[in-house]
Amino acid sequence: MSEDDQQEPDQNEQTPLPRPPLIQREVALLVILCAMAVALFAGTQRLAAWSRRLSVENGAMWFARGETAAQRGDRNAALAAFRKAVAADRTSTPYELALARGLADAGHDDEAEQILLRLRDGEPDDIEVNYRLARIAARAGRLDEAQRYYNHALYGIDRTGVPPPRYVIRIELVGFLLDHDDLDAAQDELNALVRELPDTPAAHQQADALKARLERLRPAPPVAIPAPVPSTPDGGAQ
Amino acid sequence: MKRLLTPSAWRVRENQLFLALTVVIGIIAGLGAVLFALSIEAARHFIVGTDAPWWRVALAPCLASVVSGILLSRFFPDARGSGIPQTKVAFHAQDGVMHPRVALGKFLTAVPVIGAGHSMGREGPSVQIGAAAASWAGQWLRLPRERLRDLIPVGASAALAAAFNTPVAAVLFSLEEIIADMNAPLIGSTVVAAVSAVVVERAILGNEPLFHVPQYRLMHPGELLAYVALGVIGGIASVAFCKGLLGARAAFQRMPAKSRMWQPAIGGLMIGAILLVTPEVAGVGYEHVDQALNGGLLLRVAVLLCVMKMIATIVSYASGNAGGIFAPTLYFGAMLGGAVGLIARQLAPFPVAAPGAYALVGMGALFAGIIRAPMTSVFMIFEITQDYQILVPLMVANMLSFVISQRYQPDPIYHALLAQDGVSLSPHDATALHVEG
Repeated sequence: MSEDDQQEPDQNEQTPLPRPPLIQREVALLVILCAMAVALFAGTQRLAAWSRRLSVENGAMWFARGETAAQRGDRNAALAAFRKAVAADRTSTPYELALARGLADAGHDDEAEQILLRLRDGEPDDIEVNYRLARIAARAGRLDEAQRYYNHALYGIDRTGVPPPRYVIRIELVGFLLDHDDLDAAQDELNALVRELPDTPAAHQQADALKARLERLRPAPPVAIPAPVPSTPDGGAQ
Repeated sequence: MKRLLTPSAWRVRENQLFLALTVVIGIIAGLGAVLFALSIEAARHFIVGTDAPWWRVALAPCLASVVSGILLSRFFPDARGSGIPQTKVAFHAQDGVMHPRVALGKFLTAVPVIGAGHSMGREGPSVQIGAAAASWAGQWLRLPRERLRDLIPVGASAALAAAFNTPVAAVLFSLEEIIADMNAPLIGSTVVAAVSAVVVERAILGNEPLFHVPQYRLMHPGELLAYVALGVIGGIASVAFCKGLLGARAAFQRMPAKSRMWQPAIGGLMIGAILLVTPEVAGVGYEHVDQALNGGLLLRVAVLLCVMKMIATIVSYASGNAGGIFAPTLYFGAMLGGAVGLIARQLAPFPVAAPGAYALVGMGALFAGIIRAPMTSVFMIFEITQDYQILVPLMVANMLSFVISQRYQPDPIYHALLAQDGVSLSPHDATALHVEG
């Protein structure tokens, strides 16, 4: 090629001449190489698609096993299965969330937090992700961080699954604030809680308990908690 | 239009052709690396499956090694081991000539072995496959010798970029390890090839990163002491691994020549026994590296996995199987770093970063100590994290590990492996190559 390259044509440039044969050959071979690359690309893509399908199937299988193990209370088996589900299908948010939940329940807060923070990068306002992060921060005694995550959870959007109801998050937040003697904030949250309590005795009992606890810690303006009332047929309360 | 028909317009200059060839080779080598990785996954699925009984886990490495050993002895003797030493020899001593059979042999022998659970990496073989494909393309196009030689690092960097998804580190690896000259004029070609390879790799596999890495924070200046400790321990571990690997390999080489075909199977039997105790060390093992990076390991588990992975890798490699030490190096680096991070958390009187951050730095430290490519290791971890804050602790740990490893194991591992095969490649002047016998 180099020898050919060095032979400058001395003919008039306007006169069409046959192309140097060696260059022609090299360009032809390059075109063949390109065609081979295209064929290799197509083949690799098909294998990748098959591999991806396999990974998704494996992920679903391990996730189902993890759910079953979690239901029967076998925490270690559930964790191992969720880990395999995440390893098989690294793009599935529900699997990662299940793993984070399992890790947090087993006390592996560090790893659970890393996974949740990564999920939060993608879904910053997801209710469950923020709720789980709030609980981890609360357990670690990081007051500001926990409060921030609780607030994001309270006013977030459900993007990853079935999040806990808002009043449950609020009850937990009030308890957390009382644990850390932040009585003013607890009072505010309790007032907000009253407005969103569902008409169930259990919810009212929890709210009453929190109110009593707050009053023990500091006499506060009375908070009127309406008693549960039966709903009217049109869905509204009388 | 008339101008297009003139000879000067049609004339394709050598440099332009080489540039085009570089792009095509980048794509082919990148596809080769992706195909290789996917084939290992497929082999793993077919050989071991998702929920294999214990006897299958124990026997699979041996059976795969029997097949691989026959292929290696009868047809593909150049496909043993990592592939990076062979690529260096092709560049420095053989004018870039590699037989296309090498790429095929590496593929056929490494895929079942790694898929069956041998503790070996896919990056080294990918580099050899990429370089062999590049050399074959150059030979087919009848390129002059100096151009053919230039294609070796081009193919190597493309394959590594696609295999590890770190194009900058791949280019640096080619310059630092394959060419052994950071000022090599080939940097342009290697960059073009690496970028082409990464583009096709991402087109096929998507943008999902190889590892999920934690956000890095230096919590306290005193934490640098913990990284100093990690660098020192990393250096010692690097020396231990290199000496262990070379010693075990020498022991296998002292066995009768006629046993060479069955040596990989002996290694396979030993790996089967190891996998019964610690199945986590099987194969490439990046899912466990990911777990270490996210702080998901207990101290005793991290230490156990680090030690067992070292032993398993030594056995797999020394017995003559086809596969690399690049990924295992990162594996035990992550475990060692994670262990140091967990100890620092327990002992340090100041706040320290999450163990995952130490695992990351540990990966770099072991890479610098074992592979002896400190610049590549710094940029590789930086490329994985994309975080400037990690650079200072990373450089501290890397340099300490590198210096300690260099002091007690003067020959870099790839040079020492070549020396065991009777090939001497001077570490001071890579071009001064002397082949014995």
